[in-house]
Amino acid sequence: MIIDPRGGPRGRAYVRDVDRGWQEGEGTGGLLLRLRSVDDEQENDANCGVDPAVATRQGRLLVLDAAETLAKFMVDGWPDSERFHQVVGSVVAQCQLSGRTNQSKLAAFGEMVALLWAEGKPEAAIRLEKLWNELARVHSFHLHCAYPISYFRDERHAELIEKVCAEHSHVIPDESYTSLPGEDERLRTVALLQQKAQALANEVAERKKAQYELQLREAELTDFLENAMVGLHWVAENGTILWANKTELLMLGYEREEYVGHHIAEFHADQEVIGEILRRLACHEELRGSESTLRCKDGSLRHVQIHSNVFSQNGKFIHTRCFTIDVTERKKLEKTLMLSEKLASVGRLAASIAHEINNPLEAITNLPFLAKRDLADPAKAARHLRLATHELERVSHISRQTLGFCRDNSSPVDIDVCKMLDELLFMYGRKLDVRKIHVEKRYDETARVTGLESEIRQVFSNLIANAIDAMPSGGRLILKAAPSREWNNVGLPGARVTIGDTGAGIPSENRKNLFDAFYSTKKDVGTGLGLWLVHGMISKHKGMIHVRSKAVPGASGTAFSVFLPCNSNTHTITSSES
Amino acid sequence: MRFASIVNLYHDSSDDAKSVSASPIEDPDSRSTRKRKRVIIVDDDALIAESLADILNGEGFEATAVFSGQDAIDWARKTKPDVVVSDVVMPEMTGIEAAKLIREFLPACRVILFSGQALTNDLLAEARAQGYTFEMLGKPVSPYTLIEALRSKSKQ
Repeated sequence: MIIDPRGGPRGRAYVRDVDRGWQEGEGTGGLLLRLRSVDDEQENDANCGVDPAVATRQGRLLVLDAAETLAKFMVDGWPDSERFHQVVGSVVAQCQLSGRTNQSKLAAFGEMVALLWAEGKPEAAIRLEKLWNELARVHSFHLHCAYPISYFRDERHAELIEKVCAEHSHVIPDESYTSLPGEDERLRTVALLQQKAQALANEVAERKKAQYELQLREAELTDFLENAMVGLHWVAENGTILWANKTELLMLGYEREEYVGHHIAEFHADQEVIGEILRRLACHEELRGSESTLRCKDGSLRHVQIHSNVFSQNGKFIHTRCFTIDVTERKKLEKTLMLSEKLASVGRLAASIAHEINNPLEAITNLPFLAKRDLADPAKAARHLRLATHELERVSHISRQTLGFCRDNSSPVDIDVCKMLDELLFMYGRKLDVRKIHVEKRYDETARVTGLESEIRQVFSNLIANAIDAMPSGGRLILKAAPSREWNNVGLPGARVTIGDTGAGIPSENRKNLFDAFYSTKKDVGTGLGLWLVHGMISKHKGMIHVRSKAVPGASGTAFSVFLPCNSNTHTITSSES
Repeated sequence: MRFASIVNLYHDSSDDAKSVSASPIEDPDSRSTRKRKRVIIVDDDALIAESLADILNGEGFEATAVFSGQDAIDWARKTKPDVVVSDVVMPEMTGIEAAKLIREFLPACRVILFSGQALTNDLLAEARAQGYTFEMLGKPVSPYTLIEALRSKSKQ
């Protein structure tokens, strides 16, 4: 048996062997039975030291097709002993009979084992070797086999090569080895090979250890990801969910197979939102805190915040890496907070209305008392009553205005901005007088916005109240209102309202938190929710708010600019209580 | 002074103070030879301050209307009143701040606060924490209630 160390083209190794077997082993007078596989044909003919045609004519070479012969005795993928003896045994017997030189020996060179091996049937190949050996006990011939070393490429093959070797009387490991002339050189080669083998064995052991550790680490990381506090998933470029962790499945209530493999959009309540998310990811944009709503298996909805980016290799979209945070509870709290702040701000308003009403009432209480006392002096009494009537009108007016804050209007209406601002100025009239705040109005009377009246009123009311609070010892309150278009999105019509004051201004370090909940610089009276609420209500109306402020003494002031659309897409606006 | 001109509008003549008998409320003390109680009414709403002063002057008090905390202090220093009746929430100086300062130089001066604002409770609590207690009436105060309070003994 010859083992070809290079594992190179099979043909070359076999052919050379045939040549050698013929010339050295059996001498030139011998006969060769060759079971040749088809793809060896070319090489064989070109490289054989003996002209096959001549040899065949002389009856010294018999070539059979290996695959064809093999097929004759294979039963269910296993070499059948009886058939083998019939098929191969008869050929061998025939060769021996026809041999012209009785003294010469028959050499058989088979490639059928190699074919079986190549088909991935090493056990069948070994079985075939055994059958050849059985045959050799009946007929006298030499059997040559060659196995490319590449057939025994890893450790699992150690046992097989042992079995194959056991079936042979001689094993020639390597032609480069056998070609070495002296014993000393062979021993040196063996020593080198032993060193190589040892080094390889060590290397393999190291790698196995590293691989085991890697597997442990991978299992640990997988477990870590599965149990993370946030939902995690990967989505392919076409939107299919490739993987999701346990947390995400638990959050939504799906089994793995009900989620993974499906399109991500199936689980989003708002198709527009997921469409936009996928569009942005397709452009390799990074998403930070995109809000969306997911539909659970039980039909309930979860508000989530999504952070996602694309994992790409060489610019190719591999999959997204998406972190999903459940913010449903927070949303609920925010809603409650918004409602409670609305109540609180209504409460503050009620207090200020009570004050506005109580003062005229005080006068109204006093004046009839005086009129009654001064009945004897009709002119005096009449003057008291005239003043009382005037105060009564004030009370009635305030009472009528107050209704505007309380009216439960849940559908949007067109609002005359200037009229609303004037009503508010009237409300705050006393405060403005007392503080010696001069009001400057720059109105374009055509300014209109569409929205929930009570909420728009509250927006302006809060901003005016803030402006007044910013000027404890007088100043100017500047109110501007004019039709406008949305600054960022040309085309959306509406109105811009600017509420400015000449107060102390907002220091720049306070400006970035201005619209945050619970952010207040008014220690005693502020809840820190006023501007947060304003911002929320403006966003709901798809409007915008900007602030400009200067805290330089002598030239200080603040201006809030609000844009609110008119005839906008108002059907989506509903009262926030609902 | 800002208040002086407005006071003149209401105090048509000093005779007002003598028309005690015309009062619908009979007060036994007013018939006595007792000196008339000197009262300062403080409210930034002039109509309230003046109408109250007018009423009290008709009821046997010697009342003066002023319209700010600072004016109240100045007038109190000058006239040493028996009682100061003051609104609480006023710009620049609250009635409570003014009352505290008046107490410093007129410890015996009675202070009655009246207010129609929720904010007042907080301010009063703050003053109480500092050791000041004031009588308190809610706006609108009927003239009868105020007169009654002024004629009764201080609850402090």
